[in-house]
Amino acid sequence: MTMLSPAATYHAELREQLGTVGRALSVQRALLWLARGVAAGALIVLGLVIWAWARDGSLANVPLALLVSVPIVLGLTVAFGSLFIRHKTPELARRIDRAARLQERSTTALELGARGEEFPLAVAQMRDAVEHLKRVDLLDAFPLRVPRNELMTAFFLLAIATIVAVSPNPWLLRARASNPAITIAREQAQRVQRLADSIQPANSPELEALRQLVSKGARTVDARSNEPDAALNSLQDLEEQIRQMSAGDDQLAAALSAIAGALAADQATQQLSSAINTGDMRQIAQAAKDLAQAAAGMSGQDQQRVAKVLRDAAGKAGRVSQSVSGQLSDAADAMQGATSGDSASQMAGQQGQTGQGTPGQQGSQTSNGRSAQDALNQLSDSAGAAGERQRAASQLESSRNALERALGRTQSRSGSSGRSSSSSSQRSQASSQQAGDQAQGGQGQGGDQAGDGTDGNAGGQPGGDQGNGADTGQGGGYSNGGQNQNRTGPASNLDTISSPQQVPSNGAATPDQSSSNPYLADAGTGNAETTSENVQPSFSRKPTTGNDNGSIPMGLRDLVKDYFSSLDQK
Amino acid sequence: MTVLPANVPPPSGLPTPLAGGTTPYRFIETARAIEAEVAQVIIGQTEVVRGVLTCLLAGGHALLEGIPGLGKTLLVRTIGEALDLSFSRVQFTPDLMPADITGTSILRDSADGSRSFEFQPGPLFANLVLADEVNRATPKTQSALLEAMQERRVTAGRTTHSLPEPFFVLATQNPIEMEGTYPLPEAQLDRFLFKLTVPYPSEEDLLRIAALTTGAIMPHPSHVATGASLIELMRFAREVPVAEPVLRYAVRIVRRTNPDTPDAPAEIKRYARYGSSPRGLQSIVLGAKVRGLLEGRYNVSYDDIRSVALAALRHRIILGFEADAEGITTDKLIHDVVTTTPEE
Repeated sequence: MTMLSPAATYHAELREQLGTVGRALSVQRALLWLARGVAAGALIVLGLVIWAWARDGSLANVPLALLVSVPIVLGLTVAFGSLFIRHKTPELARRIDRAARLQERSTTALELGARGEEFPLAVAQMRDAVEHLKRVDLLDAFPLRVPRNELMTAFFLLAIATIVAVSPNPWLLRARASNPAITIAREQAQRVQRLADSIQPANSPELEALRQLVSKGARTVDARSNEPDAALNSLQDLEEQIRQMSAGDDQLAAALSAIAGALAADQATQQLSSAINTGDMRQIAQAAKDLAQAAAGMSGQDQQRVAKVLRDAAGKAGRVSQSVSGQLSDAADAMQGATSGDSASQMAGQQGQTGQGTPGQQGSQTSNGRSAQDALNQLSDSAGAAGERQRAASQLESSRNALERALGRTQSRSGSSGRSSSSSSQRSQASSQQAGDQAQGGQGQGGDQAGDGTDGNAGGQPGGDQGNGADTGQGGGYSNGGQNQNRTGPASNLDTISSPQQVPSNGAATPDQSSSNPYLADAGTGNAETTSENVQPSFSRKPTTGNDNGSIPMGLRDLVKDYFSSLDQK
Repeated sequence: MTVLPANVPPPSGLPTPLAGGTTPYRFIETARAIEAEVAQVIIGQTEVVRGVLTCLLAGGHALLEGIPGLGKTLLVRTIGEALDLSFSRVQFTPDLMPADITGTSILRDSADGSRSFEFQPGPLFANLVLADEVNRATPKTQSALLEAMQERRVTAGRTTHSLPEPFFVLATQNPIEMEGTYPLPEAQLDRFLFKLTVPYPSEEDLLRIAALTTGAIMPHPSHVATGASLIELMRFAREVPVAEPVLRYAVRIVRRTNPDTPDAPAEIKRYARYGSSPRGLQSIVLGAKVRGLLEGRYNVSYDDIRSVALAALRHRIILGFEADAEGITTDKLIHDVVTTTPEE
């Protein structure tokens, strides 16, 4: 065993004691930095609150958890980090000398030990230093001081942040008072948010995506509500995105329109046919779902009959939409298969075999494993999603119109986009007519839009004969407050329908055929069979459809549109 | 009165006896005994007594300044009596010649009839020399002390004579404003370790002085230390360790008394002509070591440096005309320097 010299022993003991001092100082420093971190975090919170306060409405978008966690996390991080900063031993000696009034005993002893001094007075000095250091009460020398200044600073900053958060911004209030469009923009943002909240995804990825898109758009519009022009742009962007999502909806609507007649041939599918004729996708979805449930309980004979109807319908839909056709075909195959299976089971039973219904069960599925119920449910889902998109598009259009009016832009651009998202059978019928008319008039829609930009003063005047493209071009035009809304793009999709459309109750028709739409007739005197909420979405499309097919005189378009927009807002 | 600090162990315990058998305890005991003996005669003036004692233990010379009648001479004489040392007193007057204090060679007849010069030592040849009213002698005579104080030897004719060990010069002087005084040259002032100012006694001290000095019996101090033990204590004091930061602090103080130093206080730059010499630094450190021991420590602290700075530096800073005109004293300048010099 190696014996250390007295000087080395005292030196080691001194360093150990200084290490204890270092730990005490680290704790004290960590407390200090904790408070400083909290104060810094409070400053950041105040900055965030002021930033959001200045932007109005943004404060609601700042999560409270974030505001609370910033000072805490920052304080803990800084305090924890400070624990890793090591104290230098000479510095510790100087601090303990000063704090405990050791008259530089530790500093001198540490130096003597480091130099390895062994002369008697040096040893005596080191021993004296160690003895004095042992008697030092670290809590007395370095009392755990509550960092009042830092904590008070943090408290005041947070108090200011709270006051700012609950106080209205006078500049923004003044700006809002002087520009009502800001309030309208905020209201529309809230409307759009309510729309997003009303969308029930119900395990449908399409609907979930739609809900997220609308919700995000609502937040964007809300954040930009102080700049109504920017909010309007955001609204238009959102509308455009919804329109892109609805790209296949026209095809779906056309396919459904095409099969309406075929489905009307059977009592079991008549409800679906009627729903298709209403043009309300949600009603169509419900009818398809009902048919799917009914199909499960049908007799073999009924299933055979319904399968035939569905197959006919699939044949008609196949010219427009392969997916609708496929779903109908799958349903028809499944029903056909179930019927065969039942027959086989019966035969097997007569022969004394125990078929257990297995063949029938096998026969109720298509080659790709889907049952009739699945196929019809899928059709229902597609129609339901399209319905929600329709509703969203309608709502957004209404909000945009309201905001445009608040900004002094009285033009309704629902028809100016050159395409319609409406999918009602009436629209299809009208489209058939329009196709013929425009073939005569030549670029009628295009001519109309060209007139918009060049003749701003012509706004609100009757546009003349909508069926004549040349007339429309001369007399048409909306007032857009002088802005050039020239839309000289290609003709509407309505002009390019190339597949035969089913005219309700009249069987197949060629593109150049037309017929009167019985659903546009005067309402009967019977009691209402459905609530306004069910029919409103479909009727809200009327002005759009009317604009598209030219059935509403140009001078009355704004009036009609505003009326339905006001219904939307209710 | 020095009180033994709690950390100083009794003689029978630790620490281990140091070189020559001296222990910190013995050092303090000796100092306390001297102070106690002096206190029997000198009433009050504890700071001055402590200063003189510090000078002795540091092996330096002391210059005491004060108006006549404050007990300067009595103080020095009492210390001389408390120490078992040879003592001589020289009363400096304008007609005092150098040889009167250093000694001279005289012609002496020997038994065989031959004649030879024989050196007759002057009063400087003593362990403790009291140079009373040193500034009343001419500069020529004052300069005769230079070699003795610095080299501790005297040259007479062609022969150099060593002075006895230990050798201390305790000089007193009247303030230079008084009649018939010759200011000491800077070179000689620099030889004094401390310059101590003797203050006027307080009312209580005056009462005690009156009672003590007008009675029938006058107290006489007894010897409490020999020359040999004093030398041992002096060597012991020199071994006291000084931490580097403390040493640097002393250096900074001395440097900042020099008006050419960039970080010197504005008052120094304005009023001081010359700052302290390196001897001033030596004086501070030596004095601080002794003070540390007297305070019961084995090291030097910042407080020690501050405590001795005034006595060690006040006679080493040469003031300019502006300071004289505005009544600025070296004490004030040193106070400014000490208070504005950072420890770290």
